[in-house]
Amino acid sequence: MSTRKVALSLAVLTIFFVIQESAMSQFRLPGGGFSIFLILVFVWSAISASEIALVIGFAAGFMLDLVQASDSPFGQWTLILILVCYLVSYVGFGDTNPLGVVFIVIAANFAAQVLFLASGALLGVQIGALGQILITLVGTSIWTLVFTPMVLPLFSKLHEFIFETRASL
Amino acid sequence: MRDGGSGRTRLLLIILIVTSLLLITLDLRGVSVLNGARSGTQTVLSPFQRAGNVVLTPIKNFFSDVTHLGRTRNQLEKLRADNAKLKAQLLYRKNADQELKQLKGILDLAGTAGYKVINARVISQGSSQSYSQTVTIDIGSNSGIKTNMTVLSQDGIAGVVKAVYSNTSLVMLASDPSFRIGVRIAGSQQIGILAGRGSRSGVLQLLDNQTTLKVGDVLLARGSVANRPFVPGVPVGYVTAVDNSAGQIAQSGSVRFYTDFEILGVVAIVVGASSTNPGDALVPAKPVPTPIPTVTVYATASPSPSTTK
Repeated sequence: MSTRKVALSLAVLTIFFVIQESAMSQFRLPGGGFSIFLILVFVWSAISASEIALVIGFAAGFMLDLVQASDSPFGQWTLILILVCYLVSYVGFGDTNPLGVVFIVIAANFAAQVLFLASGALLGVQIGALGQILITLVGTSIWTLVFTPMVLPLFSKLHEFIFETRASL
Repeated sequence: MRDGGSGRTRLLLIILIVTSLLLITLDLRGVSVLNGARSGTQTVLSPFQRAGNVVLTPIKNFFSDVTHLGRTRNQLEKLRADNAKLKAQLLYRKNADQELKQLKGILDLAGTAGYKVINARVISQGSSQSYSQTVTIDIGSNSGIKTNMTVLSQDGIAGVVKAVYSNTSLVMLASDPSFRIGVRIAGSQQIGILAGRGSRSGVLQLLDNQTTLKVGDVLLARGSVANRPFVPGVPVGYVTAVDNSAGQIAQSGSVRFYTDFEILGVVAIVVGASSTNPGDALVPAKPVPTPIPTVTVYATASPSPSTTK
């Protein structure tokens, strides 16, 4: 993992983080919508080696922690994404079936949110009514299912360009 | 699937987990460096959010129309008749009209109560993955905004200023699960605590077990010391259901907020309140039912056809 690859990865993550926070966050979609940033992170983790997935998870989690939208402590998203990205890489590495990657991304998105809610409850963060949480969990999973296949080729090409692997989907 | 990874990978995993736990510990202990990082990020992001708000407003309106198709069907059918140029103009005009309507409502509300307000535009919704209900507005400490100031919509309370940056502020909406506000019921003056639930409905817990709650009761903000975080008298919502469970010490109920958090475009931040409590002066007028016109048909017998030869 060279410095150039890490720098390019961070640049791409930063670009999609800004897109998520400035463009995607303009829309309050029914069911909670989706995060293009998280989709990118999980797609890349699924087609990367564990070390790269860990670094991507750490950087992405740190970026999400920088956006102060909830009472959750700084570092909560960092911890969650490190664990989820590692697991995604562990399960998904070598899987060149696009359908498999899509379902890994949906499962990872769901798992990250459940971990966020569970750890938030342990840390004393108010998480709202159960019905609303379930709607958001199901809604974001459906949005992710719809949107991931559309962006998968782009994210795969970006990954191939930076890491020069042949894990194109 | 592969094996558990090399020793180097495991070492990296442990180092990163320890780092994240260190960050959590530092934040829970209130280390200000992390708050500075968040503030800096918001300062960097705010120009992008403003640009995104300007560029994406027509698309946002389009999606809003699609999601409210049932309610705007007639309007959409009318718009279909217009040509493409007029449609585009109408989208921009519609946005301006909506903001003007919201602004007029806010100024009426603030004027009646004697609040000194600063208007702001919503430039970004909060991150959906955080399970919080927040918006970012386009004014901050440079405009005199401070944390814990009341935020109004045209219909009543919208939320409270949670964090202030130089040119933007983060507003916690009243629908946020961690939002709490002391309320009183207009008329009976019963008091209680209203909590957000992540949607437009909240849950009210009365404090006195001798009082009763009725569906339709209007809730107003009780106000806080020095008017922060809440100025008194602001309409909050109305009771939609009452819970009469036997095990409860005092009554509780469901409340629907007056503010529609989905369409917040313009808000006002109360920077000064009048010395007198507006009391129940801001209670919204009950909607007047539209009279159904009675159609009276006078039937007159047509003259019987005459037989002509």
